[in-house]
Amino acid sequence: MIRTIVLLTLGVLLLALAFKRLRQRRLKERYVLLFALLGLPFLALGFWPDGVVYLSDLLQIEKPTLLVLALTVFVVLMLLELLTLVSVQDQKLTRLAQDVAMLAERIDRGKAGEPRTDVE
Amino acid sequence: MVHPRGAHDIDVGADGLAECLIIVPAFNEESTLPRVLYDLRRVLPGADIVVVDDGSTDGTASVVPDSVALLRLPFNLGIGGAMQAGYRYAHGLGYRIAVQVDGDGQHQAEEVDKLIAALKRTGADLVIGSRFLERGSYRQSPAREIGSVLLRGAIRLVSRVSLTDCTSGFRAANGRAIELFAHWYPDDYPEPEVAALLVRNGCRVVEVPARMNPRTGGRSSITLAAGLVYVAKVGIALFLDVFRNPWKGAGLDRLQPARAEAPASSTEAEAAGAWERAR
Repeated sequence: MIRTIVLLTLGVLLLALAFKRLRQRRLKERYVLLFALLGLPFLALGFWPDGVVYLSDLLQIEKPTLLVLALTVFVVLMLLELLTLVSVQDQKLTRLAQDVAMLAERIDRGKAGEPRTDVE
Repeated sequence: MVHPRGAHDIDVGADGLAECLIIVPAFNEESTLPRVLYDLRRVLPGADIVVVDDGSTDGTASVVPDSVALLRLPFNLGIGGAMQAGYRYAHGLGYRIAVQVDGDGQHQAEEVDKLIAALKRTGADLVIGSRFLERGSYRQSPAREIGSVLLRGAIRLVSRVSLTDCTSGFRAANGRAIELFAHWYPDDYPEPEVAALLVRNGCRVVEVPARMNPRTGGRSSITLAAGLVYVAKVGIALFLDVFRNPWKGAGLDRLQPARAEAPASSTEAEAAGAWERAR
C-alpha cells in the first residue's frame, strides 16, 4: 500500500512539475514528452504495483530490481541528451556573444566617422 | 564580402604591417593593458590592434584608446571564446596575419616582429613564441615543468611534432590559420590543442625563441590542482581530436597549399634556423 502511495505521489509530482514549468513557459513543449515518459511509468506502477513483476517475467529478468537498473540507464541516457543540448546552446551563445561584440564595434566605428569596415 | 586588405601579398617591412592585426585578449587587465597597448603602438605603428574585452568587471574597456578597436564581449567566454572573437574579426576584415599578445604584459611588443618575420620567412601557418627554445632566464615551477613535459609528450604522440612551449599564447597566424580559427576554436586551454590540430590538418607550426616577462599581476599562479585539470582536459581534447576534426567543412581542401611536400613538423633546429634567417 505504501509503495503504491509513494509511486503515485512521485508520478503525479513529476507530471505536475512539468506542467507547472510549462505554464510558466520555462519549459519548452517538446521536453514535456520527456517528462511524460519519466512520470507515466511511476503512475502506472502506482496503479499496478505488480507490473514490475509482470515485466520482469515478460523480459525474463530474474530480479525485478534489475528493472530499476534499466530505469537508471534510461535516466542517464536522458542526462546525456540534455548535456548535449546544453553544449550546443553553449556554442550558439558563444557565437552570439562574439557577434554582438563585433556589431557593437562596428557601430562605434561608424559613430567615430571612420570608414565602415565589413565584419562578417 | 569586401576584403579591404585582402589584395596584399605578404611583404616584409614596416609598411607590410597594415595587413597585420594584433589581437589582445584582456580579462580584468585595467592596470597592465595601457602599457601593453602603448608599447605595441610604439613598436608597431603600422599594425592594427583589437582588444577583446572578455566580460571584464573592471575598467578594462575604458583604458582602450580610440585608435584601437575594441570588442566587448557581453559576458565572460573564457580565453578560447575571446581569442576566437579576435580571429573572427580578423577573418571578417581580411587580415593576412594575426598576432596574439596577452593583455597582462607577459608578452613583449619588441618580439612581435620576430614572429611575423618567421611567419613570412618559413611559410608556416602558425608561429609560436617559445620561452624555452633558447636557454634563457625564464623559469617555471617544478609542477609546471611536469605539466609541460606531459603535454609535450601528448602532442608528440598525436601529431608527431615536438614543441618546447605548447602553452605559449604568444603566436602569429597566417590567413589560413585565421580562417580555421574563425571556423572553430577550443573553449578552454586552447593553445596546445590548436597547435596539434593544425599539424594534423596538414598545416605547419614553427617555434621561434621569444623573451617573455614574468607575470606582474601575480593572479595567474596556477595551483597544482588547477594544473592537473589543465593537463587532463588538454590531454582528453588532444586524443578526442584523433577521432574528430572540428575543422571539417572549413574548406580545408580549398585552403590546402601547394607545398604539401613540406614537412609539417618543426624541429628545434629548424625553428632556430628560421629565426636566424629572419634576423
